[in-house]
This record gives sequence, structure tokens and C-alpha cells, in this order.
Amino acid sequence: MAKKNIVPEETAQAVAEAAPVAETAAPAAEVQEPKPAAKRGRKPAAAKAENAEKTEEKKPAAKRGRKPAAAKAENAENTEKKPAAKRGRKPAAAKAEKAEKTEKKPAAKRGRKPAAAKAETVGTAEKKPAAKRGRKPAAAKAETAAPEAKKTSRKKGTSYEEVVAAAKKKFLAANITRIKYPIAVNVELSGSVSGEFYIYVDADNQTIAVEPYRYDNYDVNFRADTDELLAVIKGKKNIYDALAGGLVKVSGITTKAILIIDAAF
Amino acid sequence: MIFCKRINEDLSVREEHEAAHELLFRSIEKLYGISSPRIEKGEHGKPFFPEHPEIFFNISHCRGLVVCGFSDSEIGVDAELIRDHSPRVMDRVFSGSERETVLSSENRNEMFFRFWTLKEALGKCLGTGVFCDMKPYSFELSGERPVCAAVKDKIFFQKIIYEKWVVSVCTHDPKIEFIFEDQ
Repeated sequence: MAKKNIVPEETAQAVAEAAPVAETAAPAAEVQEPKPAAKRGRKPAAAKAENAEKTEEKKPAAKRGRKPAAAKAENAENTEKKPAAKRGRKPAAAKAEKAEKTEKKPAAKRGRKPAAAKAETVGTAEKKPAAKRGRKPAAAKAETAAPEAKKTSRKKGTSYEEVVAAAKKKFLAANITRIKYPIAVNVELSGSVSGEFYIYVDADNQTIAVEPYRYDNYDVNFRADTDELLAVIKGKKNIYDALAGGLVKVSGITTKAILIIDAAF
Repeated sequence: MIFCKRINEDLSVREEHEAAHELLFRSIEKLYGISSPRIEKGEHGKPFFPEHPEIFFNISHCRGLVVCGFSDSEIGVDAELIRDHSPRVMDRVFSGSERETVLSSENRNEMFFRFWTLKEALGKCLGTGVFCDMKPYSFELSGERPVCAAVKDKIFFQKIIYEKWVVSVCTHDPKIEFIFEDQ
């Protein structure tokens, strides 16, 4: 079973005198404050671009920066002409063959750098909205995600923007006075509408932001069925029932998840 | 069998998750000779090996530590870095006696995470997580092992590692061995 690289507990204890292992003991505590996201930051994804002509985006100085997810774009002429600002979201994809325009990305206060921009023969550029703590938006696979989400949203009468707006309204009203540390929550939507957005609690300034971007270096990740999440946001369903039902799932630092849930619901 | 490994404390949550999976795959190869088994998730997101349903496992990660546990029956594992605790979380999740124990403890943060990891390990073992009502699952820490009166068919183990992390395990297996992998 345990072999070469495995050190039995006793051995580990002997080796680490200064750091003993105690079974069900209650040694002196060592209180550690969570490090800010910046310290735990990740390195950005690569920006692949083949035959890109004007792909280079103006990337904001990102305090917590991370590079954005890729922006693949094939035949993205139409998709990219949609103003990101209106959708409040960075455009899903930038897959574009023979695109011509380039994107101007907004200055992000704590911006994560956007995931890589994979672009085959890219050209089109979009003006991306300024994100306060922006993570650049989840990958922009134009052919699949965005169009599909739009399609389904028409059918259901709900759009990605409406989901984010509803979440924003809900979380901006949250009582975060008891939250002492920053909490970064990434929300992955699936079902009738797909996409990602984030919620960020700035405990120092007692502010909360909800923005239509993916947050890679999250503390908590929610994966939710869009309709279920909307029902929760609108008060039609209890959040804990939704969690118990499995249509809303949480991963990451669970204590922080409870704090943000309790603050908002 | 519980494998523990220290990791860089600057990793993101996502990277911690990846490190936990690396430990999982390395450990299952050592224990069972299985290489990179496929993982699926159950109704509540609990992962399992569809091609090896006889092997039960669970992973956990926190800042600086990843843990994975194996058993021949359901198992739940949770690891937490001891840090400032949240009274609000305690109010929501802990029973009255647990809250009293924490508040009367000289080391509230550690006591909080001892209870918290036990509840999360139980929730992971049951497959429900900690978002159901966990107050009825009240733990008692005064004995040799943690005990939960509401759950009599499970055994709990707990270790405090380097006075910095708490690892709790919920399983049916009375023999659990903790193994610390070299960094």
C-alpha cells in the first residue's frame, strides 16, 4: 500500500518535532487570516492567437490579475459586433476567422486577466465594459455558448443579463456587516441559460459587487441550474432546499459560502 | 487509509482542488494499482469511480493541505486550516452544546474547526453536504474519538496536524491509518 513517498504517521511526527501531530488534542491555536485573493493568485492562461491581426487587447492593470480565459473565435463577425456593455458581459467568444476588429478591454480595478484569447485568424474587436474587479468573462466560445444561451433564453423568456441583474439586485441588498473577510464567489449557470458571473464582497469597504465575469480565483464556486437559482433569488424557493435538491451545488470554502448565503437570503 | 500532503499555501482554491486530485490518483495507484480511474459525480455531487464501485473515496483540500481517504464503504473527509471562525456560521450549523463548548474553549478557533470538520466529513459521507440542517448532528469531543449520538453506525476520527490543520474522517471502517506523504 503506502510505499516510497509515504511516511507513516509516527515517522512524520518524529521528523517534525516542531510541528507535532496530535490526535483529538486541542493545542494552542494558530489563527490564520485568509490571504487576499491577490496573494493566492493564479497565473493567467495563455493567449493563443494564430494569424491574429488586431487581437491585442488593452489589458487593464490588474491588481489581482489573472489572465482571461480564451477567446476563441471563428466566424465571429456577428457576435462581436454586439456591444459588450449592453449585455454587461464580455462576449463569449471571440471565435472568428478573418475577423478584423479588436477589443478594447476596460480597466479593471482588481482585474483578473482574461483567459487566453485563442483566435484563429482573428480580427474583430469589441469594446468591453469596465469591470470593477473584473475577471474577464468566461471563455468566449462564440459558436456554442453564447448563441445557445441566447436561443434558450428567448424561449424561456429569461436572458443571461436578466439573471445577472436579478442576482445583482439581490446581493446588493445583502447585509454584509458581519462578514470580516473578502469573499469571491463564482457562479456557473447551466440549463435554460448558461454563463458565469461573480459576486465579490469587499469586507474592508463593506461593499458587494456582482459582475458578469468569471472569477477564477474564487473562494466559493456555485454551480446552479439557472431556473432554480432564479427561483431562489426571487424568493420562490429556499436556498437550502435548492442545495439539498442538488440543482445548486457549492464547492470551495464552505464556511464562506454559508456567510454569503446568510447575508443575502 | 487517509493520505495527507502539504501543499503550497499560496495556491488558489481551484489549484488546491487539482492538487487533491493528483494526490487521489497517486494514492489509488499505490493502494490498488489503478491508474487514473474515471470519476463521475452522484446526485449531490459526490464523486465516485464508476468502474470501481467497490472503492469508496473522498478528498478535501484547504490552504496548505490536501487529503484523500479510501475505504470499502462510504467515507467522508474534511480538512481545514485553523483560522478565525465565524460566529454566524456557528449559530447556523452548531448545536447548543457545541456552541457552548466552543465559547468556553481557550482556543475557540481550533474548537470551532474541530466541530466544523466533523460535520462536513459527516455531510460528505452521507452525501448531503453541510447545507442541510446539521444541528441535530451534535458531536461530543471529550472521549478518545469524536462521537455523534445521532449517527451510531459511523465512526469518526480526527487529527490536528502541525497545530495548524484539522482533519476529520467519517466512515464505517474502525481501522483508519493516516499517512503523510512527503512534500
